Amino acid sequence: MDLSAKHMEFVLACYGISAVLLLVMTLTIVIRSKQHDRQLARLEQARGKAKK
Amino acid sequence: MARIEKFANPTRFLRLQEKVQPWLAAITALLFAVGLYYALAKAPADYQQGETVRIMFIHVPAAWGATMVYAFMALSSAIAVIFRHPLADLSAKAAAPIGAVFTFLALVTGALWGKPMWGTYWVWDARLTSFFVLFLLYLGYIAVWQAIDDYHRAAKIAAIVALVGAVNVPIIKFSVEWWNSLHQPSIMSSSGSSVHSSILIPLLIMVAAYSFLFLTLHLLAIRSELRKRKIHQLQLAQAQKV
Repeated sequence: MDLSAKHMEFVLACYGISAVLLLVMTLTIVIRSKQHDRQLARLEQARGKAKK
Repeated sequence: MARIEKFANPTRFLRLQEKVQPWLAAITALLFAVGLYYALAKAPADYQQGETVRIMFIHVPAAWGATMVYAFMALSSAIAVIFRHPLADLSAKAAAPIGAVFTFLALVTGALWGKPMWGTYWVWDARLTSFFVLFLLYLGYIAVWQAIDDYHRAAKIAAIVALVGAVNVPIIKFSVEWWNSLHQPSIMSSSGSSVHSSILIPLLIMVAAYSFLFLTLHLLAIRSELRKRKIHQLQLAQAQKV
């Protein structure tokens, strides 16, 4: 790839925006899933204690 | 249908999801690494477009992902409405934000490709307009889930939005044939491809990478939605006790 080629800024902008958005989307889904896992574990633990 | 029914049980689904998730993530990472290497280092510059042809390797997979996810969402909604499969609503709901991001990326990368090639970022021609409508359909679908508290009512209305909007998918596909468009026609057809293998192979690898990314994130998002529903049920039960 020739970085000094004409219109290269458009190519770099496309790859940059795609990388950032896909990364943000992936992190959001992973973090949200982990948060729900933790919250559910806490609630089930509290329910277990309440039953005892 | 029996195979679909098999995964109607959320516990069974979660067990399977835990098993396949690391493998799907690894395949996605590998496909992106190989695809980007070929797209940026191996594929030749186009004799007319020069280096800007490399935008195709992220624009086409994003556009493919956007339409594929919407078709999948419509199919999930149809299964939810017809067979009342308990995971079908969740599957469509979990797919929508991923599809919306793919559509946004296809629109942005398309605009950035359009400027050096057509001399403008945007024209209201059939392909671009139908793709913009797809983005609005995604936003509308997500807004329905956000706006309605009652799960079953939200699921029903969202399914109608997804099914009605599905008419836009063939319009996107055939828009370049039905109307005059600045957008180039499809490079893949039933008779094969008009593109040389040095361009086609990285393109297909990137399409596979986006497809696997969707599969990986979609399964995780369904898991998250199932957990959220369980949390809601437990909180309701606790509140009723108090």
